[in-house]
Amino acid sequence: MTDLHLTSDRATATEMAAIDAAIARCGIDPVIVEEGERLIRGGIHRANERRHGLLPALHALQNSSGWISHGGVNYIAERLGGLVHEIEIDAWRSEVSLASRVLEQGFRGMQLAFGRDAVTQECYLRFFDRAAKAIGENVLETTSPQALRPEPDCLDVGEPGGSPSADGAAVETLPLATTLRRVGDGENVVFVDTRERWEYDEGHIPGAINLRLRDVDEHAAERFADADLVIAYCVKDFRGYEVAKALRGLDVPAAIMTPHGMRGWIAAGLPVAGGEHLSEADGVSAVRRLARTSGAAALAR
Amino acid sequence: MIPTALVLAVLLPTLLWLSVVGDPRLYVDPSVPSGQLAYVLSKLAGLCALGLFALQLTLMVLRGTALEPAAGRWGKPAHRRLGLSVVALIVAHVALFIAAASLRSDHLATHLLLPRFESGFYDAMVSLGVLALYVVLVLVFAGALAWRRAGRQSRPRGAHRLLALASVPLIAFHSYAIGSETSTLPVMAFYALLGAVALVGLWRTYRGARR
Repeated sequence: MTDLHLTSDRATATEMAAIDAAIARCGIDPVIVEEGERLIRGGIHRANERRHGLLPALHALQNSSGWISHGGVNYIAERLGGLVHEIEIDAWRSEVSLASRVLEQGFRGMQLAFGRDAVTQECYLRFFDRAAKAIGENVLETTSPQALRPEPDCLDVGEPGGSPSADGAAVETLPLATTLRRVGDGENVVFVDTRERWEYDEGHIPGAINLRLRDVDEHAAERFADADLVIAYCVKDFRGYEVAKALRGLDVPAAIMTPHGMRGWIAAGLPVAGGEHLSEADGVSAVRRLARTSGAAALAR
Repeated sequence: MIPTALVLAVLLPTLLWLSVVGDPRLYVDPSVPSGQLAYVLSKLAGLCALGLFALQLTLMVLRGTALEPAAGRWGKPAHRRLGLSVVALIVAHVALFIAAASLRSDHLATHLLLPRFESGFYDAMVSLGVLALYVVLVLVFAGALAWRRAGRQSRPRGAHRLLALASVPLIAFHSYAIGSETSTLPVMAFYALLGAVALVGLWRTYRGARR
């Protein structure tokens, strides 16, 4: 990391003064507005104003203390009412600045590539490091959103956003690239297709076994006794999640993947077996070959 | 008997849902993928709609038969209230599923409202459900027209009945084909019963039309 320093959660007085001044110059109401009030009172216009205050505020923070501090970002987020919320609520407005679009597209692109629930704090920190550097050099508007995306090795540092909670029964969400890497490392990764037989026969992840939610029991769980990882999936992982949850209740190391389900697998250009697709053997070979080569890393990029 | 049947028509699907979902509070945990809560609530709405729809159909088929006194009188206001409850649950089922798919995919999944039969089994079975939704909405419209012509045999009433019967195979096959809970043996027996009721209803409608 170059510019982003994890120090205190609170901004210093100097940082707060610089941010306040920058926001005031944008003509934004300095009152901190609660999320609920902002939404209920139709605060879209105000939200839009505040989003345009983000970049000046980040500039001011960078200039005041030499880096984008954690506390400073917290303070900006508080003052501006939450950047991410604003972008999500207000993204269709025509007057969105180019810099905001680059930042948003870079952010969304990273979440899509790595899997939204799998992006680690390290990835976010690296992303904002790059964004802050581009802001500091005044080149964010001309930066490609992809250029803001960190290298995939950030996924291996820290816990992902969708990591299991302490009760142990929660279902982990792994990035597709991580799953393939584990296949490539020789781990026994078992794919479980949780859809109906008809759907499975149309096409499935090579080597996947068909197990529906109503068929999950202790006897079915015994099939995974040697598995290092069981990936349950369906079309968009609604059923996949339910099966993974049921399997975890039976002490099977089950998880789901992002991008989600068969749609995510196909969108990533990965091989499919069954129906009019590859034979099971050819499909399994293709997946293993891809996992052993640089395919997983390429996928994450 | 009808109040008991009403309670059972909601209670049994809810128990079935709980047996699969477990503790619903777990779904508000931040670690749960986006849309999963809406998805499981959509399933609950769908299952309850199925239970109440079957009851409504059965009560209508029993109407005017020797079995009606044993079942209890089911007047038009009650028929309308139950029918609107079924429609509300069906709409909730669809809306929650679209919300779930939208949250999961990060874009508004309104395309699900357009039937698609050429893009695989799953989409085709979802489309059957969408067709059922449209049939149900039209039958509500026909029912409303029939309501205004109370006391007379009318085309809207006939259309209302026929559409109700036509929606049975669409709803049943949609839920059987892609419903996780609805392909179990007890639910299959329920479908068989529902099919038999629909056939009797069809026969009675046909006989009524010939008179």
